[in-house]
Amino acid sequence: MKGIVFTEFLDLVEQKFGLSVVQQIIDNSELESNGIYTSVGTYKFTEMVSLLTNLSNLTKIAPNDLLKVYGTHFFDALVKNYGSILNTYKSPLDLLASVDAHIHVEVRKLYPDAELPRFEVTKHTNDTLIMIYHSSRALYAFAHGLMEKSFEHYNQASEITYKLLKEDGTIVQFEIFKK
Amino acid sequence: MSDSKIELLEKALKREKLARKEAEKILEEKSLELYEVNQNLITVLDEKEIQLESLFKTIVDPYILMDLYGNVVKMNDAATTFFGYNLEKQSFNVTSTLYKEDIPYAMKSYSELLEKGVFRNFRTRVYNKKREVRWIEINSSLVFDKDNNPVFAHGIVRDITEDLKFQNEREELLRNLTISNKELNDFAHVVSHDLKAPLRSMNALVTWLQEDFSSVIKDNEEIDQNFHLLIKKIDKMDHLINGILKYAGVDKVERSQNKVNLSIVLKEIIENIQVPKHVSINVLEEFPIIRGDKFRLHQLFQNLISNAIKYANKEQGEVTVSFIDLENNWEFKVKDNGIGIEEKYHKKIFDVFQTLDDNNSSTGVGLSIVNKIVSLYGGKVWVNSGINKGTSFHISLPK
Repeated sequence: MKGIVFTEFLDLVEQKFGLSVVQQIIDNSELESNGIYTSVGTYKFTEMVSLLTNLSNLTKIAPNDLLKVYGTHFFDALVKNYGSILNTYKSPLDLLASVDAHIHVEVRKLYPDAELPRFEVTKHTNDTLIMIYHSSRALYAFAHGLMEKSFEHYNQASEITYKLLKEDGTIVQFEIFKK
Repeated sequence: MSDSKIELLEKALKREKLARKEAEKILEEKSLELYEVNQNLITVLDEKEIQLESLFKTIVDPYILMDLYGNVVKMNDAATTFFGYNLEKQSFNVTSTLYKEDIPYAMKSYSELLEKGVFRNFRTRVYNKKREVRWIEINSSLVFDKDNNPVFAHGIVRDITEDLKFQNEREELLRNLTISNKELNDFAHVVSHDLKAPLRSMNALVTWLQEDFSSVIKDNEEIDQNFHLLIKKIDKMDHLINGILKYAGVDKVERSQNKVNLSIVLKEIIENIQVPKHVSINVLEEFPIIRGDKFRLHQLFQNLISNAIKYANKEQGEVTVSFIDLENNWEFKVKDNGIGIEEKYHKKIFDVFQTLDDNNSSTGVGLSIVNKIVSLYGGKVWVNSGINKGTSFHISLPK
C-alpha cells in the first residue's frame, strides 16, 4: 500500500485525536515499519488494518465510519497533490465515472506495483451513476468518503447509497445521484 | 511541558527523522533507476537513429524533408547531388528550383497536399544543380506532430526526364509510322487505279484488233494463239491489280465488336463459290458466334476454302472445316486432301504475290490477305502440310 495512505492517515489521527493516540495505535500495533512512513514508500496493507483496528478500539468508533471520514480527508490530499488532474473533469459524476478508465490507468503508469480497486460503471447518465466496487481490501467505506467529498469539491449536493453484493464487502454497488 | 508530552514529541520527531531518511534513500534509488532508464533510452534512440540514417542513405531517389514553407530540413545524398545544394553550407528552399511556368500548378498541388495529407505522382519541371530543366515526379506526404498538426512535408523525387523523352520518341515514331503506312496504302491505290485504266484500254484495243483481223487470224493458228495469250496475260495483270487493291484495303477496318455467326458466314461462302463436282465440303460443327467484322471474316474463310478447293485431290477432293474452342482462343482448321506444300514454302506462302503454281488465276494475294486479317485481329495463322499429305491451315483468333 502506498505510503501516502499511511502518512495522511496518521496526520488525520493526530489532527482529530492528538499525538498521544497516534503513539498509542503505533505502540499497540505490531508494525514491521515501526510506524515510520514516508509518502514515497510502500508498506504492507496489514499495517493499515492494524492501525485502523487499534484506532477503532481506542475511540469506540466503527472502522468503516473511521474509513469514511478518512476518505473525505484523503480527497483533500489528492486535491493538494493532483489538483490539475482533477480540474480536467467538469463534474463529480464525470470524475467518478472515469476513475477506472482513466485515472487508474495513469496511476499504473507511475506505480506499476499499485494494487488498485476496480470500479465497474454499469449506468452513467447526467445525474445518475451506478458503479460496482471490487477489491479484496474491502475498503468501500473509504471509497464512499472520497465520493462524497468529490461532490463537495464541485459544490454539488449528492445522495450516495450502497449495497454489499458480497457480505465481506469486497464487491459493493454504489448508486450515486446528483441532487 | 510535561515529561510525557516531551517524550511523545521526541518519539514523533524520531519517527519523522527516520521517515525522512527513508524517503531520501528511496529517492536516491529512484534517481539511480531513472538514470539507468535514461541510458537505455539513449541507446535505443541511437539505434533508431542509425537505422533511419541508413534507410535515408539507401533510398536511391532524392528524398527531401522540409518545413511547411519549403525550407529543406534534411535531404539524402541523392537529393544533394540532384539539386546541387549542400545544406551544411547554405539554406535551400524548394520553391527556388521550380520552373517558372509550373509555379501556379505547384502551389495548387501543395495546397492539396496540406489539405489531404498526401499527394501522389505530382509532375513538374525543376532546375537541377546545372540549371538544366528536368521533369520530376514527386510522391509526398505530411509529417504530423503528436497533436496531429502538420509540421513537415516530405517526399521522394524521381527524375522522369529520360522516361518522358523515350515516351515522346515512341509516340513520334508511332505517328510517323501511321503516316507512312497511310501513304503506302494511298500509293497502292493510286498505282492500281492508274494501272487499271491503260489495262482496260489495252484489253479493248486487243479485242478490236482480234475482231478486225479475224479473217487473217482464222487461217493462222500461231497468230490466233498469240492473241489468246495476250488477252490472258492482260487478264492476269488485272487480277494482280485487284489483288493489290484488296490487300491494301484490309487494314482499313479494325476488328469491330460486332457478333458474327460463323455458321452463317460459312454457309454463304459455300453457296457463292463454285464448288467443282469432284470436291465435297464438310463443315464438321455448328460454328460459334465470334466478335469481329463480317466482311473480313467472310474474306478470311473464303480465301482459305477457295484455296483448299483449288488444291484438293483432283479426282475425289475433300475439304473439311472444323474448329476447337480453347480457353482464350478459337482455333479454326481448313483441311484439304490435295498435293500438299513442301515445308520450305510454309512461311513464304503468306507473303504477298507469292504463289506456288503458274496457274493464271493464282495471284498470290489470298493467303497474304488471310495473314493480314489474322494479325489485325491479334491472332495467328500457320500451316500443316507435306507433299501428298494434304494441307491444313490453322487459324487462332483471340476470343
